[in-house]
Amino acid sequence: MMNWKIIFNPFLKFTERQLLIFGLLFFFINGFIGYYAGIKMDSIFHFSPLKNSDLAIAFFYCGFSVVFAVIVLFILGIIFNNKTRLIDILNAVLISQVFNFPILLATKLIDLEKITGKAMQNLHLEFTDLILLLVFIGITLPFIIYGIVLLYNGFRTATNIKSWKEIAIFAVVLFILLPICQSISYIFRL
Amino acid sequence: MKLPIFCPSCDSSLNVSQMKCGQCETTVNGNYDLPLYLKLSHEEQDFILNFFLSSGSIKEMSKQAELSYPTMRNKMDDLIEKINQLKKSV
Repeated sequence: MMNWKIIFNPFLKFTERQLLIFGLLFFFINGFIGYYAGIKMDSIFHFSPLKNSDLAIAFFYCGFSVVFAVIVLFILGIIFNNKTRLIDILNAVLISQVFNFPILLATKLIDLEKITGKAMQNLHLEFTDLILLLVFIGITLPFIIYGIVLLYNGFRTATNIKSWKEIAIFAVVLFILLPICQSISYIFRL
Repeated sequence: MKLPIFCPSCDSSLNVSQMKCGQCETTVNGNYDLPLYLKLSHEEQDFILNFFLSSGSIKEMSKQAELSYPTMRNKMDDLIEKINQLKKSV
């Protein structure tokens, strides 16, 4: 039976095969929705407009973001606990990205690019724009927080970390890897 | 009946002070340490027994307990750490 513990840490109960199938399924769903919405994932938990609307390029960015995060977190996992398995880190990253599709759809439906474009050019934002921006934040923020919680719990289960020092290092590495991945993604300029 | 291993008053580890033959009722008094295995909680003793009965396969144990492999391996690692600490303190 599903309970709150399993909802926030599915890595406790489900086998690596179940998690991998579920994670890959949503990787492809998110890739297609990203292509449809004209948005690329240039790192995990980060999206930017897809210049050349090409399905292969949308998947390339998704794949690169996941592989980069897996490599960095796997190396960190091995440093913490040499019994860390690659499959558990891969599942943690894939499952943490499952709920990207509501974020991608909200970005497309609310036309966030138009609103942020106005803000960047210091144009006057209308009241409806502000309301839409708040609605966008209200929809996407819980999913991003849930994704981060899933990634943390997946990493913690894979590596058996407990001390606050290890948790702090994980948080620092996570927030460093995101801009590095975005910078490398920017170099591709696809 | 479960063997009590901790003092109900101060939570310290209990020692054996008396043993009795079930056949002739001879009683032996003394102050004996509990074996290391008996110093573990009942859940931990069950865990070790299940590990033995599943031929030392964590994968098999995780299947039986309907838990993931890393969860079961983490339990095992925590138990190994606890036993190592108990061995050091003896």
